Amino acid sequence: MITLTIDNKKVEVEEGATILQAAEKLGIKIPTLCHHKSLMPYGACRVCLVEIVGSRGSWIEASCVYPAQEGMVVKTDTERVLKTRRMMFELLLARSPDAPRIKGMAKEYGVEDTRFTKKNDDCILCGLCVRVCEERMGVGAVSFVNRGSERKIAVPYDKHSPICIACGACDVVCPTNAVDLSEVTLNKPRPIKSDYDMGLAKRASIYIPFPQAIPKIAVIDRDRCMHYLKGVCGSCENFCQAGAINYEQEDELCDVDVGAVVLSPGFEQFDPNLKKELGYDRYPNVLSSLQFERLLSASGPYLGEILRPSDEKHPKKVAWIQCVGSREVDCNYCSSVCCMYATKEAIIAKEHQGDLDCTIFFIDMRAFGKGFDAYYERAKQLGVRYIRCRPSSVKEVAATRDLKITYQQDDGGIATEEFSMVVLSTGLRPPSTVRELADKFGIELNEHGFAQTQGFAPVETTKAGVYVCGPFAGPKDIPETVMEASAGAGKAMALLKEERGTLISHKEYPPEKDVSGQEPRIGVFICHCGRNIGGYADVPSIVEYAKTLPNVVYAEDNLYTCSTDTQEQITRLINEKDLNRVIVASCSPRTHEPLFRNTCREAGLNEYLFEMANIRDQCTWVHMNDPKGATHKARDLVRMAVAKARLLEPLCKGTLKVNNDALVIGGGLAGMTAALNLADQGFKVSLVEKERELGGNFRHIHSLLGGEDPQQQLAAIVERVNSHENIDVYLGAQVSFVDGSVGNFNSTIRQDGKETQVGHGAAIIAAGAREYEPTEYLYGQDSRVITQRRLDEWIAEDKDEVKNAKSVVMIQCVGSREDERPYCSRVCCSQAIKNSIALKEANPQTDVYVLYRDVRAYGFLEEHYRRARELGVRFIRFEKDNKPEIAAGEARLEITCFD
Amino acid sequence: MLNMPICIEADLLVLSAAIIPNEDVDELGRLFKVPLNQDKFFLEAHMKLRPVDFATDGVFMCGLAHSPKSVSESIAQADAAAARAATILSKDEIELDAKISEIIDANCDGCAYCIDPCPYKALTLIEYMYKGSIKKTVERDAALCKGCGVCMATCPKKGIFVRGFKLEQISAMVEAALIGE
Repeated sequence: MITLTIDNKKVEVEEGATILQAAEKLGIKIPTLCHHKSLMPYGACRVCLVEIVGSRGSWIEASCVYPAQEGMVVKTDTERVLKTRRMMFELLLARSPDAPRIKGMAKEYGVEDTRFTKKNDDCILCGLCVRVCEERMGVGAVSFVNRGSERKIAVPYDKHSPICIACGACDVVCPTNAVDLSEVTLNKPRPIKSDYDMGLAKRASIYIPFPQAIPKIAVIDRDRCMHYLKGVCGSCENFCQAGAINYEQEDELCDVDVGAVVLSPGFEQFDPNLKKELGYDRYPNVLSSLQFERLLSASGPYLGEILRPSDEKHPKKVAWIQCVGSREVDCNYCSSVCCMYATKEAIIAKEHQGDLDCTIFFIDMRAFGKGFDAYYERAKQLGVRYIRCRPSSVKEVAATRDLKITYQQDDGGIATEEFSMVVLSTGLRPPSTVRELADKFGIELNEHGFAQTQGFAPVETTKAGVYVCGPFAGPKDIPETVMEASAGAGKAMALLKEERGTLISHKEYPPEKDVSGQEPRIGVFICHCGRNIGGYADVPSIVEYAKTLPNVVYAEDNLYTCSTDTQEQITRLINEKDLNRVIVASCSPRTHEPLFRNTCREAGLNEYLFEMANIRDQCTWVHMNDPKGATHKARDLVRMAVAKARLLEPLCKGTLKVNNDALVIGGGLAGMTAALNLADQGFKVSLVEKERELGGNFRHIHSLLGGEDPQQQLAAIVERVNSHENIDVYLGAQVSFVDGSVGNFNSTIRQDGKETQVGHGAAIIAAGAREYEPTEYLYGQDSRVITQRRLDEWIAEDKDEVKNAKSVVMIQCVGSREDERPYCSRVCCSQAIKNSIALKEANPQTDVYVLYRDVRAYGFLEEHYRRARELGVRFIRFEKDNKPEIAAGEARLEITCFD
Repeated sequence: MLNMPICIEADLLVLSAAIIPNEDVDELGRLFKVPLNQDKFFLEAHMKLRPVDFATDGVFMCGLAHSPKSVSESIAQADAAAARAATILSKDEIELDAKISEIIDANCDGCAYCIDPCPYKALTLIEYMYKGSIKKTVERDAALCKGCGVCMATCPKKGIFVRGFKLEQISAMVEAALIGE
């Protein structure tokens, strides 16, 4: 080992190490341009100059090539060093005055311009490209030619190289972006498109899949890595300080013994390439909806700015085309989520760029989820334009690269309009590997390739013990996916109740540090939340401000403070900076406080020494149009959090014994199902039903679109509930009083004037709902006007009124999607479709009309909608402000509507 | 699309009537201290990520009381609610939040002003012997207290406070807010 002194600090390095390496070990920064960790030292650019102090004076050397010697004394920051480096930068600027990296480095040394004649050559002759090609890739396609002022880097004979493998290494290492691969190689350069950015950005052949990947670990793309393809390069191995690169790593096979399996392989996007007429892949400004999601994302290709790929300029008008790969002959289902994601994308796009004109071309607006209709109405208020038409083609205007869409207007007229960008709302497909998965587990798939499930067993496959959840069982949105995930887990838990808890290992935390008597040392972490905060408030200035507040010893900003790697970083910083109070300024403690508290525990800090400032929900979200004001308020909120954090004390939690029984309120289908699931898991359940009979609304359902018999099913469920040893049923009963809280509730059930006390650890409210009793369309005044529920019963009873009806009209959205009740009742469209199919099947001569506003036959209901049309059911649309009118004739009812 | 009014004669007119909430949902919401949305369906803790949980721990929802839905969606949600409830029921004990009220015996004189306002019935008046005389104070049930702070706001003698929300901590925040940059 050799010991030398750099800037008065002693350092030990191995024999043969350079001064640069020794300085690096001390954390002393020396600028470099031609140096590359995985290449031999070269000493061409001379910006790494240092001063070596000897007994007979001092001299200047390039640190990247000069070997460290025993007892050597090196200075990196003397005036002589700085002056010489400044001179080097002036010379480099003369050669490449526009190279951003050189300009940036020069500026750090106060050099903004050069006194020498400018040569305007991008190449600074650092030789990195030549060396990487030769040393690492073993190719040698480029080399230095000529001498003196004629010296340059070239392909032999200035021709395209036949031996170049177009790996792009020269392009990557070049500090001045001087390499144009197309001028070097005869082979076609193949940039690797980022899967995560949906092809809108490039990536390397070793990469971290996406910013919040778990685990956040680099992966090597073996199909494209030059080391695997040609046995060359290996640069990443040189760079990785953790020594984590292992080219010999192989897939491992693990055996796991399990009693149940939950399959959730998700979905794939419909391949928009199959829709050539819509211009995807032919026109750069036609994107898929997932690509547009990436455009909107702060971690996306343009950091959340909406730019169109052809010219990276802000678009003026964006059009969405719905149902691309959905509701078609060869794909006879609705993808369920596209109407809402297009609406969401349009709203967010307008938030990012206020003057953006957003238009959505759709067939039916399927805003059937909770709160969705309100969101749709909000989009319309914000100026999102909805046009009810499915354009058949998209054409590019060559000069502007805008896109021309021809469509039919509401009045039947044809219009042509140009848009700067077109987004295809691509549908959901089962994953391409699903067949293999299904074969492996022995489960059946439906005709579309999704998992086959039954209406009464939505998360069960055709094989016992194998459950499904999420879009694998059919297209669905996030809430339904999360529900099914819990449901799948619940089913598995019931199956495996004997084994519960046997594989659990408890998390160990480091012992808690005693911070009593310590001066507060506060660390502040300020989150950009992608663009949610950073897009509006000036986060770096808030960080600087936080640093000036009393007792704040550290502050930083994070793109996402909640990401896994940031948690690790916070844990590290708590120890490194000896923090005893932590503040995160980000979103709502409601969702994220437990996470950050846990991070404090991981660092041995009491979790109550943590404070959160909500600078998103209560700041940037409400002050989007006032970035200055939002920044100011965020500073106020951080200052308040700091003031409180200084006085925080460690607290300790108590524990409470849990009552393991449950209370379920409502004996309808949902309540009984929940009670049975819990009872099957071994928990005692009190089931309270206010009526004298179990079944709720389900008692009135006599048929289902899937063909199952609801009443038979109901009888079976009621029988199971009544005979289950773990369920106590209280009929004609109500909960009259509730005391206690989680783990230990105490409720009073009143039944026939008698009161019973039940203790329970948890409660499920399944109190049901009811059918609206219409006041419109002569309901209650004319006996020929009935509800769908009644029709369902009449069909089941084979009533004469139904059998003899020659013409039946149905009106949708009665009492729904109105000002006083602005939500969609979700099931009425399928009810109408179900009953009209039944009418047509019983008597094809019966005329059936369905007057609707949007047919919301989501998911696989679309098949039944098509079947109804094939059977001759006529669907006629009406507008909310132009409703059908009814007149009661002697013989028949007369319904007038506008078609 | 004919772009004109049409008249259809019908023997039966079938109305697709809305699904509306039951009348007793307000009462249920009050009993379990859980919220309803503006349409009077029960409001989940998070629209996307916690679709069967209430913000109140230990209470879950499923079926039409949450929002209109189909038979199989009701069943899936019911199984989900059961699974979520089981995460609590399957434990022997649970941790309680530390941010709950705490009595300062030296300040509390047992005036009992705090007892009735407590929405969780977590406080009881007790008597004890101190240096030969009977003294009064209140006792807090850690399982029931949610740390809402009503007691702290009611107490005229600074005899009770909520951990993590001490008067000096709140004052420091208010002062910081008022002081400006």
